[in-house]
Amino acid sequence: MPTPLRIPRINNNDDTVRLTSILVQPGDAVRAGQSLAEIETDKATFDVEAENEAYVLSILHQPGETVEVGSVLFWLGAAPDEAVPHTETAAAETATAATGGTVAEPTLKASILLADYDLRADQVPSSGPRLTAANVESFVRQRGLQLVKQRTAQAEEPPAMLPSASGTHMPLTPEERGMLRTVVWQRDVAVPGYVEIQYDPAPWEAQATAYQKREKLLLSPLLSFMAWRLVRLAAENRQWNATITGADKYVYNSVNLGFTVQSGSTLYLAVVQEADQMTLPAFLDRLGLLQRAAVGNRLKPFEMSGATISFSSMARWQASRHIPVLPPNTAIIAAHAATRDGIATLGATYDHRILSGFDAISILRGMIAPEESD
Amino acid sequence: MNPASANDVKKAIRDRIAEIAKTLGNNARSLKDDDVIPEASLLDSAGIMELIMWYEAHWDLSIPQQDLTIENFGTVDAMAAYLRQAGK
Repeated sequence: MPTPLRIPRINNNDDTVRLTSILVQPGDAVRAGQSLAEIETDKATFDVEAENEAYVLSILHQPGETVEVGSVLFWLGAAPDEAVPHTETAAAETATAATGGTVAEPTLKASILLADYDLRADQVPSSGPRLTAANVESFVRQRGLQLVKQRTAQAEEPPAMLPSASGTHMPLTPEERGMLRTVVWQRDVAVPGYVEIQYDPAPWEAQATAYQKREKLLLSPLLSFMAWRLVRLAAENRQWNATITGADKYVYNSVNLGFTVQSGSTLYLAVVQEADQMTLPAFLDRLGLLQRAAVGNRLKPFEMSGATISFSSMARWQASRHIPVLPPNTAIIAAHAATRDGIATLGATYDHRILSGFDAISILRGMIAPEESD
Repeated sequence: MNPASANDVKKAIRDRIAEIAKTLGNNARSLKDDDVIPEASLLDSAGIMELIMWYEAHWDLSIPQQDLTIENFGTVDAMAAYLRQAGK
């Protein structure tokens, strides 16, 4: 089936670009990553590249034209003699008609659904300026599409093997379902890595103790201080505060700090929304309230969702290191642990699709000692 | 609050501290009513938070975040006094 290759958006403010050259002809075989055309704006020149191996079926614009972002530039096919849609303009603009000629940017939930169904944003019509999850769900329903993962599972997964020992089936509690979703996300979606670094915790402990005494706090702010440091690092390095959706990197607009709190047998991830926009005292206050709510099993749903980075500690159980599971759609979770002989270990599980090992170590090195501004 | 119930309050608080400390591998039997709880190395911050949550639920109180100070909750005596001030 022919697929359109559209004019990409280079700058958010540019709805048109200048087509400066076409590098192929109809009938040419192209490989993934091959430059097919050159386009330019006032600020940059950009190559339009083939996403997959294909044949060029038709070219819809000529060098020198000013073309709209999102409009079809090439029709590509698996064979050189595939029929191009007879109403090229209508077919090309189907998915973008609602947005006046540009591909509507998908919301995060829509991006995840697109990936689940192996769709691109330009294939799905939007009902407004953004492509929503409802748009994708409607498109999928109308065409009876199946989840890619479900198709894969049906084709490849062997029948479930039941335990040989006798037992009783019991439904999962909401907390157990939440934990299962988290670990399955790490297993099926993320590419987890782990790295750790040893450090002297004395400077952090001294700063936390001094602050606690000065402010007459009942609780030590040590872990909150280290979590705050992580927030500042993520705010200063936005590329770390991101996840992957489909084939794109999704950089979050704010830093939402997830902080693990154990309440009885339940592990909560309490989330401080927009932590990067808070002052330190406001952050400490908010995190304190969330921790209290978690201990009292009173967290609201929005207080447990939307984490972009996370912090976990098992120091209270004298764990000298632990390897936490990545909360869904986060790039890193820092792992604080107990001190042994004056030395502590700070680790992190990170998503290798977003962060390199060097990135993860850089984050940890930024967290192991307070700065004067903390 | 009469002296008998004040003693009951303090006993309840000490018992709860001992229960939480036990989960952390600590023995809180020798804790005095004027010992500063965060400095006694019996409860960590999470343990103190559990104590506060229990305190709120047990006496049906809602403690403002700004009241969580050493002065109000740093000792068993202080916690009992806070309860008195709250009219419980």
